[in-house]
Amino acid sequence: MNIILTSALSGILFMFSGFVLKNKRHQSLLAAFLLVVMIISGFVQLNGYEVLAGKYSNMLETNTYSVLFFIVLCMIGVYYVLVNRNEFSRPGKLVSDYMALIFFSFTGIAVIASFNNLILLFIGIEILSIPLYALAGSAKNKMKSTEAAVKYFLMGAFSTGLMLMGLTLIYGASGSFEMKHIIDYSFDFQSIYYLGWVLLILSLCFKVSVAPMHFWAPDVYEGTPTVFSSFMITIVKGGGFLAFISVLASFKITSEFVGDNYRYLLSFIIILTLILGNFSAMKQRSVKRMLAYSSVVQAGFMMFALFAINEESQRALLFYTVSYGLSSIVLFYVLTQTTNLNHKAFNGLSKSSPLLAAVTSIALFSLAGIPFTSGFLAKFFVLSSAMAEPSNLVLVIAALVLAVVSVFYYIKVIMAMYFRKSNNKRKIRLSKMTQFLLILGSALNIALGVYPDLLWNFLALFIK
Amino acid sequence: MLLSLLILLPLVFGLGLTLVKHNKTLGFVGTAVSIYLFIFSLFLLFTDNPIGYEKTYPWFNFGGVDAYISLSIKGLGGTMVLLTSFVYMVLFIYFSNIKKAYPNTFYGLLLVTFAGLNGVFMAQDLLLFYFFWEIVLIPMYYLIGIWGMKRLRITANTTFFIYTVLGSFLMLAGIIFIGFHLKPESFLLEDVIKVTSSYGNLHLLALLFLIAFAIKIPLFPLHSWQPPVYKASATPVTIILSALMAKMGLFAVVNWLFTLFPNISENTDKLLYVVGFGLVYASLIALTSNNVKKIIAFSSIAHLALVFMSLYTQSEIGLKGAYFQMFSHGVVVLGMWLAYDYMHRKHNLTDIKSIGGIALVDPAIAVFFTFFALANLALPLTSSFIGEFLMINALFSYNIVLCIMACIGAILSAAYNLRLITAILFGKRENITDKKVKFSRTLYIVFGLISFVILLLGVYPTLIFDLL
Repeated sequence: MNIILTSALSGILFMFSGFVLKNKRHQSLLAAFLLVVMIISGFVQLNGYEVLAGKYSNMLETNTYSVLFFIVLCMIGVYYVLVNRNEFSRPGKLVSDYMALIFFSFTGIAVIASFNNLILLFIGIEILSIPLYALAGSAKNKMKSTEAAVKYFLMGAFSTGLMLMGLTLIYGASGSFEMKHIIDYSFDFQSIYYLGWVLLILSLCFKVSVAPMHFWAPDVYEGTPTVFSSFMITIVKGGGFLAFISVLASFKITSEFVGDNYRYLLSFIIILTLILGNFSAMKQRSVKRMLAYSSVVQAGFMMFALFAINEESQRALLFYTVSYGLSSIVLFYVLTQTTNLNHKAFNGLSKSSPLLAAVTSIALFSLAGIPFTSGFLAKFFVLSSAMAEPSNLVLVIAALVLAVVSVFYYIKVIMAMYFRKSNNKRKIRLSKMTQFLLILGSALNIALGVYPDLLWNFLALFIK
Repeated sequence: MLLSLLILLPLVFGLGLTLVKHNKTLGFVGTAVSIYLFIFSLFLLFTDNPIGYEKTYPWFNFGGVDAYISLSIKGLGGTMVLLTSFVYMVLFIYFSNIKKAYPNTFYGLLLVTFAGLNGVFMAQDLLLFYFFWEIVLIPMYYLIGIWGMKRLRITANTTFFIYTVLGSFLMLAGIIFIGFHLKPESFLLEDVIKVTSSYGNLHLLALLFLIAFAIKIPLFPLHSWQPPVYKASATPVTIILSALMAKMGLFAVVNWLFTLFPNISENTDKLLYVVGFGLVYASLIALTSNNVKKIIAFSSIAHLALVFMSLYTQSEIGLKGAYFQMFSHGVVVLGMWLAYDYMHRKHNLTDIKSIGGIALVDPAIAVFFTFFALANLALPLTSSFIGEFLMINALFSYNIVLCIMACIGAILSAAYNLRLITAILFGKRENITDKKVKFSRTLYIVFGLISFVILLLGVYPTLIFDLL
């Protein structure tokens, strides 16, 4: 409950902060501060001090993993608001409103992190999504932004419909929304029950943008102002996966009948995602759109963690989220600094800003899964967690071969930065603080890639 | 800790150098580091060293399988470390003597590669090995791309990167399968062997590794990335690629493929005919092409194919010869490339048709280059002779057809090496200066050192055999 309260209160606070804080940078600092408060409240909750504990008739539950996931997303959020602190005013003047929307999204994630009842899952996902529809359309005078908002909203409504139908069917079969009753469900209405799950899984696929429900992602991520697509691609996607993995924990994916069918479904989703995502990304001229498709591909890799829900896969998913978040935030920040979004804008970046070129390379190598960056271990972990089932080897090989395609379009950007010359002699100037943050992010990326236990050891410091 | 110095020292200095601005070339830092490491590895290998040959630190644990940072310089790995530091030492002495040859970043990246190579040769943990295997790729990618030949570099580099990453990712799939399906206690070599040897049929798994290694060596038909890359990249980079990175593949075949899958060479022996065909094919291309870099590149493919065939016989003699040749080829090819680089700078040599008579104006390089070319065709008294003799010997008792292929390769090798030296050193004087060229003292030291090693090992091969 702590995390829900603090994040919701922060959102409300921000709705009115515009009256007091006129300086836009102070808004970001306040946001970072409030995120830290949320992190602390999360740790407090984990250590057993929960506000109103036991007063919500089993609707909410403190699950260590989920709360940790939320905390980690907040940490990524701190990095996100600090790095982008000057960018929030780009889409429009209403910085405090944008911040409020971002914090309401966090509230949604907080609900997802604590739900013990499918109704609350639904509410959490809605709270997470609705602010995003507004954020997508925040650049009001840009056609593409409006288009993104409308598209996202319509598609989101569609997937909400799917989810509701799924939940209803599950309810109809098991007679309850409570997770523990669904787990103990006796198999009387099998077909309805499983159909419900398939619909639920598909609608969650929509939220994390994997095929066959990914088609909205490139347009929306491209049209949304870059600052906010950075948020959607990292933190929101993390929230989506949190919902995914916690809801699947109550689905008997190890049982005989479900096991195989579930595995086929997941394999189909993954392969389709990787093929469509990779080959579409390869053809893009715009780097932002390429990154949008690449986020589809990365989500496809994260799906590997869902083959078996156990400690390993949970750790792998969390690690992947952190790694992907660190890389993407840096990349999207770089996109706000280049003249336009095409590959050409990256030509000669190593000359006009060696630092940006270096951090971009590290982030891209991380996405490509090259060792010494955390991206490699992230891929290694998720693929490993899927290997409990030996026949997944074919899938793993296919995924890695398709990952070679992704290496191709990632290094295209590196090639432009280092090997091609640009006519544009403009030097890009960055403030000391930004330089420090970019270096910090890349250093963390490498540190996690060399010593992955860093993350667990750090989190363990704060838990009794 | 001292063993990891072989990795940390070049890494730290390398990263440091990349950050230094271009004003003053600090090639001497690289020279100092590599001389120090050469002496250090000599000391480690040839004395009763108190530091020890092995070191293991815990790294991380995932899914009940431990990964360790485990290093060792025993056996073939130690020889390769020695070769690496020797090649680097000579390379740095040669290039830091040339004024304004390359900026600091270049030398920095070279040193980072040094660290990665040492890591590959010393790693005793499968995951750590994979780590270093890939890390070598990154500085290489920049080295080829930024300082390569204008026209070719981007396509050549992309092909190179995609090819090697494809191989590595296949190997990664294999590693994941071993780690999380066969479930060894840890990724340490000894633990992994336990599970792979007790598990039944693992040919497909072995194939994943083999493809990765074959791409690095490179073996026919996976070699097509190599000639354009050799041609496009700056000479120091080409040297690292051909003298050291190709050895990574061969080394991995010995140290990982053969130990993890002891039966692999019996079950995939048909493969050797393809490799043998590749040997003859590469030799023929070397014989017919006119670009010097291309000739050396294809000669390298041919020689390494022979080494691979000999390794695959798994006979005592074949392995011994192959190990020896791996060291020897590194030294000889270093000499060839440096001599080429010198002639390229002084006499604008790129194509054998357009130039001739270098011996008339520059007798010193003519002597050295002739010597290296003769070493390359495995003349007795040079180190390659010992290796090649043992290898062909092993192939003869293994399979006569393969032996004939190897012999054809040896004959063709003589043909293209002689063609090379006659065309550029002798013959009519063409496109070169009239004045005699002065050969500096450093150059005498560099080329003398390489020739000395070739001769020494040709006469007294026990030096290397004792290390194995």
